[in-house]
Amino acid sequence: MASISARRLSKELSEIRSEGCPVGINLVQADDFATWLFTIEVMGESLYQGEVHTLQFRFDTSYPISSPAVQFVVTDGKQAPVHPHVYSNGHICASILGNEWSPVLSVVAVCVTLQSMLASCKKKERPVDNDRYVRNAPDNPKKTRFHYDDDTV
Amino acid sequence: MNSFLTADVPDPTDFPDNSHAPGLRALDSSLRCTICGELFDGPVTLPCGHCFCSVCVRTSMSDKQECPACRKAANEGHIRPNPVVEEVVAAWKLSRSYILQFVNKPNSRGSITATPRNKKRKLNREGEDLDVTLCTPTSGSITPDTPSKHIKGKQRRADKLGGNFEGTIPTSDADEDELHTGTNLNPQPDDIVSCPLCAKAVKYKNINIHIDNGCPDLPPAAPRSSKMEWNKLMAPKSSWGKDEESGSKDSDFPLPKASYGMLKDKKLKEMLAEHGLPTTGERTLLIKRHQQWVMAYNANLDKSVSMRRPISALRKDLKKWESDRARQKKSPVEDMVAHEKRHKDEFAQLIDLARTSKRATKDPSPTRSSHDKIIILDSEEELEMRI
Ligand SMILES: [Zn+2]
Ligand SMILES: [Zn+2]
Ligand SMILES: [Zn+2]
Repeated sequence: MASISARRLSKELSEIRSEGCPVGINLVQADDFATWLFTIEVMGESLYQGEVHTLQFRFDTSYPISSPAVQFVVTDGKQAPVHPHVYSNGHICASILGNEWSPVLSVVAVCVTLQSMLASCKKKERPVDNDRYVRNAPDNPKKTRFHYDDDTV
Repeated sequence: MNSFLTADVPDPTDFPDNSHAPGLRALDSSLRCTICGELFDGPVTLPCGHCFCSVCVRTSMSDKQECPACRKAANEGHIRPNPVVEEVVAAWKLSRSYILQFVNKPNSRGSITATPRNKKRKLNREGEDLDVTLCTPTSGSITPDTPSKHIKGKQRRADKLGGNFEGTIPTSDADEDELHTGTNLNPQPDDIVSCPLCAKAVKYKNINIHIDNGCPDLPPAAPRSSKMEWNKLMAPKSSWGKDEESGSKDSDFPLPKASYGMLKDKKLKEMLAEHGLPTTGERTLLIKRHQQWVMAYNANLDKSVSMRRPISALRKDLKKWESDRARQKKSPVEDMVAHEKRHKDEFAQLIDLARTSKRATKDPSPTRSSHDKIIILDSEEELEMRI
């Protein structure tokens, strides 16, 4: 029998295929239950008009009890959006991916949250500690215990 | 995107959408746990009203003591079995594949066959009645291999289903009994059948007693659950099992959570041996094993007696859980820590910084972020320690 995480992901995939993703979010790769890729763009008026970014999800067998590892893709010419909570290496400081994660959340729910995080941005800038963090950052953003000081994310 | 990834796992999209089969997808969805996505297995309710599989919400609570859906504070002591939902799920499991055959049958309705269906019709693990033969809902003709003695009932059902698709109101004489009795030609003693008088789901072997007793409100399993609920409400938490009536088995009472920090290895091993579990491995593994056992054991008790898994099956589950967990440790998401080790000093600095800034007042401005308060975890063990 497939693991709980694989079965849960399979159901999410079925729903995406059957009902589609919300506007501005597209599934581009889900060949297994380890890594999925989505493109994400902000619809309507925003600082990110015309930008399409790629989000990577990595799952382990403790999903959905523990959160997926989520980051923007910064290879193959792709870039992370310039945002006060997004590091240039693609790591994202968002409580929903850390201590605010809940197992009832889904991959699509995370995409939508990050989309609205971008949509509500007032000023395009990197986090103040970007350079220092990127120098030391682990490969897996889940290894980082971010300090969430912004309740809106 | 490979469709084989989703080919074998039942989910609500097995049903056509609302315009083709009103309500069925939502019905299937509403009977599923929002944590695991499966039909509720041992459904329990929290004070906020949200419902999950017992084992799912217990696992979630070992991480965070809140309702996963609404985040209201809740702990294991708040968990209450939901025997009604359990019954509904049992009946739905019986009828699910049967209904699927109606709605996904080719040629039954043009609109249904026109619906894009990425998946093949699946062999359904959750329902067992795959051997029924059906007539075509709209045509009124009977497929040649339909057993003749069931033609009438099936045809009537088919007409009703066909009518529903066209938006007509179901007739008030809808006879649910037919749905069950028609599908199971030779029920086994433990099969759930529908009572011909009151339509409640009753085990086949209990159906005569049930009718003789004048169709009692609850199936045989339920009274015990509510009795347990009362015990929980009336008794202080510390006295689990103390005031149980003579004759009821120890196995009806949940295991208490242990405070492992206080336990010597010897005692820990005794506690494992008591339940027939292996006592080998490091202390951390022994603790994990016992924690997982308590969780699975107590979750099993949240099911009505007839639905419970035997203890031997729980042991097998635990064994599988342990081997999955061992494999998980080697997964690519978890083992990329070498890089951090090389920067140990800098991390120590960061951690110090984070500790000192914790005392500082919280940044009130939502647009300014102070990301210098970051802790980088360099091993799974450290992650667990900090939780
Ligand atoms: Zn569940
Ligand atoms: Zn709730
Ligand atoms: Zn009855």
